[in-house]
Amino acid sequence: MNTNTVNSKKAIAQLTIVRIIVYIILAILTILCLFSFYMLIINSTRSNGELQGGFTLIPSTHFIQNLVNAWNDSSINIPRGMLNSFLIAALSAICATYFSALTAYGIHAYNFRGKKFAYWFILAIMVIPSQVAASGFVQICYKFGLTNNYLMLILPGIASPVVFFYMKQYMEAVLPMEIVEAARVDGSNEFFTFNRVILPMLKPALAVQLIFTFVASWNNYFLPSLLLTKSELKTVPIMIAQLRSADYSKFDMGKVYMFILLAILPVVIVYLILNRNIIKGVTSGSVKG
Amino acid sequence: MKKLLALILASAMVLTMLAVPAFAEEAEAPAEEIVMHEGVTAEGEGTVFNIYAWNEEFKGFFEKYYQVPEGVTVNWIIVPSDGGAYQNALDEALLNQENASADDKVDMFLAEADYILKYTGSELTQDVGALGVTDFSNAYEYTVQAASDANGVVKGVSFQCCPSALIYRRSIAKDVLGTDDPAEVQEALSDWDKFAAVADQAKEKGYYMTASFAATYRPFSNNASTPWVVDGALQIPAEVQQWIDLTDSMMEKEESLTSGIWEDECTAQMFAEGKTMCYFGPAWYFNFSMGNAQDPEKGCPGDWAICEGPMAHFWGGTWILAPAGTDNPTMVADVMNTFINDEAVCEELVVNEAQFSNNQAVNGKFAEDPAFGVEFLGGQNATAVFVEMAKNIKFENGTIYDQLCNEGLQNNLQDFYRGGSTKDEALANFYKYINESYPEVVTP
Amino acid sequence: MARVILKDIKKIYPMSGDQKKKKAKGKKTEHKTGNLQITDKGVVAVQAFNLDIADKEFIVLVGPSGCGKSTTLRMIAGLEDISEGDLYIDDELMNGVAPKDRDIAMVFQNYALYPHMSVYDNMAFSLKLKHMDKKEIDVKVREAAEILGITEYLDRKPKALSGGQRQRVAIGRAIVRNPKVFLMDEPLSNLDAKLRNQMRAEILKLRQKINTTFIYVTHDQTEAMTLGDRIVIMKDGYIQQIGTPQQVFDHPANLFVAGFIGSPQMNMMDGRLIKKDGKYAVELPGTTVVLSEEKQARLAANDVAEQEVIVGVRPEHVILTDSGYRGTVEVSELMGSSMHVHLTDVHGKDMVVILNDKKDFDKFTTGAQIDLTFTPDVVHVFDRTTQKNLEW
Repeated sequence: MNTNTVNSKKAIAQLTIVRIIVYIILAILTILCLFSFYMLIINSTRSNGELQGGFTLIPSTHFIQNLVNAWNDSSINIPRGMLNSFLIAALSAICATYFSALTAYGIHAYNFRGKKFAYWFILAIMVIPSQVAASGFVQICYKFGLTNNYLMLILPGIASPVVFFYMKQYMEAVLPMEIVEAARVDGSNEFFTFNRVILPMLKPALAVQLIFTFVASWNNYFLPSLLLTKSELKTVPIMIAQLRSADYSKFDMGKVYMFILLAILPVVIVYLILNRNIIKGVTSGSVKG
Repeated sequence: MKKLLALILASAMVLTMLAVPAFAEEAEAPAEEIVMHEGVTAEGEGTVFNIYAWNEEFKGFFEKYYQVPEGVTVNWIIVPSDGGAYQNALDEALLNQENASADDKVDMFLAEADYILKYTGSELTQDVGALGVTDFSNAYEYTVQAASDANGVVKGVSFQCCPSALIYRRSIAKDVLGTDDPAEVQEALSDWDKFAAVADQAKEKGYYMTASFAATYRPFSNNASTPWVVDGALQIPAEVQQWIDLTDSMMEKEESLTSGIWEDECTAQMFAEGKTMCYFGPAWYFNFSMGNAQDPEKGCPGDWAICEGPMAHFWGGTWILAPAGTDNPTMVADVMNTFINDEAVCEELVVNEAQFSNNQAVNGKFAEDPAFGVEFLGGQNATAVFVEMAKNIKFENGTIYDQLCNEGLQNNLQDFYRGGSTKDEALANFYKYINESYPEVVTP
Repeated sequence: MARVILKDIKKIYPMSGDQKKKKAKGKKTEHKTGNLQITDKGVVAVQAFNLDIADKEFIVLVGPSGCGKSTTLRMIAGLEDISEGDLYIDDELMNGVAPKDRDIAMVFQNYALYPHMSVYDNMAFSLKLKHMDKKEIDVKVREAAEILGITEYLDRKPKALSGGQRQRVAIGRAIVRNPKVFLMDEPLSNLDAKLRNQMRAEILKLRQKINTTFIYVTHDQTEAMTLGDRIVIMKDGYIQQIGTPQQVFDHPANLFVAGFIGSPQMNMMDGRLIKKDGKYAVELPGTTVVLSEEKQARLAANDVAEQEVIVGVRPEHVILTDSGYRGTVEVSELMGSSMHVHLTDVHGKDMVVILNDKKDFDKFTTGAQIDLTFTPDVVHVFDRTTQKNLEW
């Protein structure tokens, strides 16, 4: 009896210590994550001169000035860039997730000769870094005069082995074949089944992959910088890079930080819209609810 | 709640987008009377003139001072230099030059000293002499050398000249040398032994000679008497070795800080309370990159002056090159001639754009002009200093390896000066870096 | 009007490593492939299946895991290709017809409800696909919901329903369509025992209400016996016997059927079929049972010779006697109105005896010796090698 209480007291103390450590670690991680955002906001309020003067946690007063400067910079057109980026990012996110889900469904639900090969082939592509293929792709685009064409940035997204793999795993976890068969018996054709029955069931996974591919495309600099040379077609990352490589007389980090701040807003908005599904998508998959 | 937040953010963004153009209208600059060069083109040549650049500096000059001939549209292809994107995009376009339609051909492109050799040494650029750019008598020698290939064939021109001076704090010079007169200060710093001696004196008075270990690097590397790579083997040029020795000694005596040129520790020394005597840089450096020194509250404008320093050298500058296969050869030559030989335009560059033009006659005029003083330099005529210095600048012994060799050596030595490695390790790391970047180069 | 004819239907899964398993979609075939016939073409999951299902008949396919019953059902549904043979529904050849064009409805074991749709939409789904008028759909859905007592759940998502309610929705989804043939694949096996009994009764009621052809798959012989007009007993891809519940219970075609149907299982004993005074009798250690007239006639018709046989007697057909087939009581279970007595090692076999006479109950404590004999008209004799019922 006595030892029991001692033991349980000890256990409670241990648990408390563990909890404290866990919370401290979580707090540190949270601060680390939020710190860069904080710095971005602070930096967007500082002038170029102040930014050169070093690092500070105290906001300055040049927020509006930076906004006006960035907005008026003749080399970039912020609303246009945001619109361009949004168009590309949204379309490629939709293409990538929809077609990857379709592919995954094809491999998951149907039996055909070479299915295994197809599966492993797609997975094998996953381990090849996309940069390897990119330079060849760029050359092809130049050869065939396909530069300055958004389709070249959107369509390749259709082949996204990582998204495919995620979808396939998710389907294995949550998609019983009986649902497909029930739909077939109910008189639904295969595409209708996929669009109306399967896709809604994949919502959490779709949300996760939509935001991932959206952000990846939104932040993509490498390919767009090579393929988009017309100023009216340029995307946000190119414009930011352009501000950064401005000549010394126009160079203004205040503008750069301001633009970065504006540039993350759409991502935050997309995230908040898909947020509920994302949390579901990250946690489910393994356990069927 | 989250949806609400999303909505607020979204509407905030839309509102900002709508609101900002309102203030954009106010900032229209009043039109001034400017001289423009009447551009020319030839019958049957292309109607689209494509210029590749990584920023808008030259675009600004071009649009202000060059009247594009009728019937030609200038198409600027601005690719930022971040992540090598500019050179990648340019390379693709140049390699595809033959197959590109006339309107897509690259007609002119810009390059920096760091990688200009890559283009001048290849078939992708052409002899501008053949296009009609033959008069380099007013251009500075080094700018022509830089744009020439190994056989002396000139492939382009520079629209600016960037001689780099020794920039010193007048008040500190007075304290250390007893004078702030540029001529006398130059006398005291005219070679590296004197420079080292002055550094010792400055140290005694509690000053730093330089704020960055790399401040003195460029004068030495610009004047290297041998290339970085000889017969396929890496070989540190004697002048660079000399810099290492000088820097080792200055570091040991704590006469310089260990920061890089662009790091906060270095730029913070430009404030009035800074203790650093010397910086090195061209006009654009003290005009645009010494913001801390120009700060009305914490800075010290007017307390600066320039002199040639121990060695003439340059820093920066942009060249315009003529790609092979352009369909606008006449206009290419015309643009190049404008920016080195049209004195009216060159004068505008000096007066309006704070440039040191690539025309000796024009610069000479301003060097004589007592009214042409720079307030930041306490009224000193910077052009006068540069005019003298620019004649002595060399661009020799360049190789395509230079950029990484210079960067690699400085980065690894900085690690050593900061105590992160021994000198042997630093050099070994440098060799390793070169090996990884250029496997074909033999390193010691 | 829906007559279903299965003519020489075969299902062969091509052999190719584990692909075969995937194709079989089944835990069921996977670990049981061992007993299935393997030919050059592959694993034969269903062997020449012949069955003529009359209109409005309730057919139950029953058998252990891996016997091919689900595969047969899925072939009827069109979810599996028919490898060989012909399937007719109302005299129309259905082999190549897509499931949706067969005018069938199917209820799946795990319900297979569309999780993102409300109960109403689940049930209306197939009707919407037929572009039926909205009002008409509404009438049908509500009618079906009424029959199944799920009207109040129409707006709920399947997630918010219990297992029994989900099963009702699954059935509702099938009945709104008024299909010619109603297929059910182990619809009750995911329910707990009490609910299963209740739903079984409901299916019987439902059948009276909607009155169409049912094909029902189960592994539970009680369900088969209670629901089916006729039962098809399958094993290892072969049909073992087709007949009414009474027929298969009283006249099992072979040892497997005899053992599979009825609970507790039929007792099997090693014995000898002899002819005594021109009459067939079975000789067991301690007792000899002269068979009934009816059986005599059948055996005689088959011209069965004297031989070693397996003798089968259901537990409820055992009679106590003073001296006979003797065994030792291992354990006895009192079930209230009857008592199940388990005997161990009765001439090498275990036996179960059901006693209905209450005054006998207290005699059979563990270790007690009892002597048994058997009613002549319910003794089954099976060939030792072919395991066939010798009466057949």
